[in-house]
Amino acid sequence: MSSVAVIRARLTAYAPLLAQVPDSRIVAGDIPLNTAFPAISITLVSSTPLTNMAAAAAGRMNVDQVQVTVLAKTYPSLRQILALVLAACGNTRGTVAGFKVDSILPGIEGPDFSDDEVKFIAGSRDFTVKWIST
Amino acid sequence: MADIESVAGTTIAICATIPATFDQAGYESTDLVFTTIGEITDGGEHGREYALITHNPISTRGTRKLKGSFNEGSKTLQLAIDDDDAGQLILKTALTSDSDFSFKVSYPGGGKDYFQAKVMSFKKAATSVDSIRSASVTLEITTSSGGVGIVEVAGS
Repeated sequence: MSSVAVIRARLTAYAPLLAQVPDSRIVAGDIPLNTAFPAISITLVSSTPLTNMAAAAAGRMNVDQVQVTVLAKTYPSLRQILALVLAACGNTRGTVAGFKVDSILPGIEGPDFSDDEVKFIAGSRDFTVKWIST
Repeated sequence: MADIESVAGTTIAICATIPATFDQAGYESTDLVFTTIGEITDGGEHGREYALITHNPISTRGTRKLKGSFNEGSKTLQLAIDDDDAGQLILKTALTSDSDFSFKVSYPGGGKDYFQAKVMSFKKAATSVDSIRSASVTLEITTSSGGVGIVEVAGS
């Protein structure tokens, strides 16, 4: 949850993104039913603690993969919002959302996918978040 | 009951003070205050190695072997750099000193190894964006004037 909170904090602090997707539609976890589009879902893909020899939990660096999924009504809107997501999450070091962050690095942008019945188009971008547990 | 164990939970600590006696009592004296070296990811290896002396008398084809001098060897630590870690700061002090420093390796099962060493190098690495800023530290383990090197203390 920590890295998801970090990414959400970065997204909701970026005004150009908020102009397209309001704060209430940038969600940690699954997007609730009946949410208007565009909307953004932030989920944890994996979390790997880097264990040193002493194997202590405090002060441990964690390497998380976080997926940001954008659901939009049109393809141009999807592309624009994904670009804003990337811009919002530039490498950051310091305290973000109460967590000690080492770095945020962009990962793979995933394939486009769509649903003709529900009428949305979606895409995602992964981020690698390294943070220090207390 | 002794059993095999993994390395997880092993700590290595450093102390600038030399023990009065090179045995368990000396190293566990209250005069020695060890400071754990943080963020070690690889504790390296240490152990005595004897020099090989060979003898080939012309009357036989066999090679006779004898043990000569011994060397307690060197030990290389790999660690993630933490500029605020007290143990790492002492390592840097030891690097610029010609003196021996005391080291304690504490194993998860309670066993300990004590030895004297000089810190010969502290090399920093910053290799790629996905790597942790790290250092490689080389210790040269020495013996006392009486020939005592690594002192092993069995775990309970």
